[in-house]
Amino acid sequence: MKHIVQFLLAFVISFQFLVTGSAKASASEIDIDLMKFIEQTNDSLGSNLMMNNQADAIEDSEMLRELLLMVEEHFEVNSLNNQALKISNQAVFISNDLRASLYMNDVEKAKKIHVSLSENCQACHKIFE
Amino acid sequence: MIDSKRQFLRALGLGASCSALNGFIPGMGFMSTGFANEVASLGEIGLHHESKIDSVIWLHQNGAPSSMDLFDYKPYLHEMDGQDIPEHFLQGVTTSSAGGIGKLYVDPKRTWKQYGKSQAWFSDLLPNLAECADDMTFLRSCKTVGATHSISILKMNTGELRPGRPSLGAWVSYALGSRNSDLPPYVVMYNRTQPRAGTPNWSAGFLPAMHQGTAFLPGESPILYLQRPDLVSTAQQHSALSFLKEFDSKNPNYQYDTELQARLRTFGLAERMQQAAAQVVDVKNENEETKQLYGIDDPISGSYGQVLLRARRLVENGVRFVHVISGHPEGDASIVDWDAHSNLPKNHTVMAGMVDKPIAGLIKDLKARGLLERTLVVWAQEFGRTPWGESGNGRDHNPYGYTQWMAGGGLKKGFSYGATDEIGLNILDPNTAVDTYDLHATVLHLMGLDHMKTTFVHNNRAERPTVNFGKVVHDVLI
Ligand code: HEC
Repeated sequence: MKHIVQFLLAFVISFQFLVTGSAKASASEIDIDLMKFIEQTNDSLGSNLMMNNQADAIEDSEMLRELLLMVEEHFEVNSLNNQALKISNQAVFISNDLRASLYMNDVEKAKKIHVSLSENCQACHKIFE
Repeated sequence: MIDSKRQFLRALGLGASCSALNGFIPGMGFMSTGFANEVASLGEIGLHHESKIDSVIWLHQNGAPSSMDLFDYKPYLHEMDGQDIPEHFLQGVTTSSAGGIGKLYVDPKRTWKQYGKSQAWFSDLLPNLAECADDMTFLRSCKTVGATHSISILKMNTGELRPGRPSLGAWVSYALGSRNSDLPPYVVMYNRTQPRAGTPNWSAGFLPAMHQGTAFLPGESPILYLQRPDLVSTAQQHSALSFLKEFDSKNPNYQYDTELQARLRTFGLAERMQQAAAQVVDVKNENEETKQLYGIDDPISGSYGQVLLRARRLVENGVRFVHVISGHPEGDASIVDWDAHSNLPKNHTVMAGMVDKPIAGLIKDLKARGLLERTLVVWAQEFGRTPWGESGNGRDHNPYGYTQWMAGGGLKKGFSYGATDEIGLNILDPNTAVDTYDLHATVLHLMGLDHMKTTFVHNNRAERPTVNFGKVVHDVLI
C-alpha cells in the first residue's frame, strides 16, 4: 500500500513539475484541494477505525496530522483570523491525541477522539459560513 | 523529517492548488472513483445491547416551528420586545437567510403556564400537549447547520446536506429488519402535500434498496392499488409471483442486484400486505372516544390526527420506524407548513392547532395501551426560528439553538436537557450541544444499536448512520 502511494506521489510531483506556475492560490485563501484531501483522509480514518484496521488507521492519522499542521501554518502565516488559528491549534492537538491512542492500541478511545476531531472541522467552518 | 514530509505534500500542490490528485483516495490507493464497487453487506446488524424500545414515531414538524413560541419560555425576550438585540448575543451568528437582523419580537397575545410535576413551560398554543409534560424529555440545546429547509431537512433525516445517504429509518430497517413480515419495517406518512425535498428523505441511499421507506398516502386509502384486480384470482396472482421469483433468482446477477432483490421482496410484501395492511391502516373501526382523542372530528386537526392514529396502529403491529411529516389542514391555502416568515401568530395558531391534539392523543393512547414504554415519539425539526422579528411579526430560520423533544421508553421523563441563551438564539453551553447526529445516535441507542458499530461497507468504506459524528446524549437516559 505504502509503495503504491509513494510511486504515485513521485508521479504526481513530476506531473506538477510540468505544469509549475499554473496554479497558485492566493496567500490568504485556504486551498480547497488541501481541504478536500483532508476530508478524504478523515473519512478514510473514520472507516478504518470502524473496521478496526489499526495499521491503516495509524497511516491515516499520521497523514491527517501532517495536513492539519499545514492548516495551522496557513493561519499562522495569514494571521487574519485569531479564532480560526485557535481552532487549528486544537485540531493539531486533537490529532496528536488520536494518533497517540492508536499507538497505545486504544482503538475505542481513538473512535471517540475522531468524533471530536470531526466536530473541530465543523467549528472552524462555522467561522467562514 | 516532519518538515520534509510537509514539503513533500506541498510539492504535490497541497497548500497551493492541484487537481492531479483526482482519483487518489487515502487508504485505498489509486482507483477510478466513478466505479461504484458494491461490496456485499455486512449483513443485518442485530442488537448491540438490550433495547429500550421496539419502534420509533419520528414526527417531523415541516417548516420549522418556533421553540420560543411553543415550549421554550424566555421572560427576558418579553422584556426586550421591540428593542435591538444586545451585541453579545450575536457572537458566531451569521445571518445567511434574506431576513437580516430585526428587532426582538414577541407575540403580545401569547400566554404561558407551567404544567405537571416537572413544571415545564408551555404556551397557550399547545394546551393538550402540555398535559403530557411529565412524559416528555426536552432537548433544549439542539443545533444544526444550513439555512434552507431542504438542506437541513436532509441532514435531519440522513445526516448529510446533499441527497444520497440512507435515512435514519432505513438504517433501522437494515440493522434490525422487520418485526412483522406482512408490513414494511419503515413507513412514511404525511397529511396533504408531498414534503419538501421529498423521497431522498426516506431513501435507502447506499443500503440495499429494500430498506427505503414505504410511503402511505394521506386520506382514506393510504395504499394505492392494494386491492387485487377482480379479473385475477388469488391463485393466479400467487403463481405469477412465484414464477417471477424463481425466474429472477436464477439471474446470475441476482445476488448483487439489490434493486432487483428489493423489487421481488416488495412483490412478496405487497401480496401479504393485501391481507394485513388494509386492516392495519383502516381507522374506521376505532371507537369514537379514540378518534376524538386524536382530534379526527375537527377540520383543523383531522387529517393529521388520522395519520397519527394510523401511526399507532402500525407500531402496534410491529412497524419499526414510522416517519410522519406534518402537512397542513384543509382550507386556508396560505398556510402550508410551519415556515412563518411573516404573521407567525396566525401561522402557528393554525399549525399548532393541527398537531397539538393529535400528538397529545398519540402519547396518551400509547400510554393507555402500555405501548409508550416500548415506543419512542420524537418531535424533530430542521431548525428553529430567530428571536427577532422578520417582516414585523414573523421569524427567520435559526440553526444555532432550538428545542426538540422525545417521549417514550428508556428516557428520564419530565426532564429537560441543555438550554438556549436568554433570548433563545444560541445554545448556552456548547458542551451540551445536540446536533442531528447526536439525536440519531441516541435514538439508535434506545433501539439497542451502537451507532459506531452500525456499519455498511460501501465503496470499500465502512459507513455509519452518524457519518463521522454522533454522541449519545446519556444525560437523558434512565
Ligand atoms: C482552522 C480552520 C479549519 C479546520 C480545522 C478545518 N477546515 Fe476545512 N475549511 C476551512 C476553510 C477556511 C475552508 C474554505 C471555506 C470557504 O471558503 O467557504 C474549508 C473548506 C473545507 C471543505 C470544502 C471544500 C470544498 O469542496 O469546497 C471541506 C470538505 C473541508 N474543509 C473539510 C475539512 C475537514 C474534514 C476538516 C477536519 C478534519 C477540516 N476541514 C478542518 C478551514 C478549516
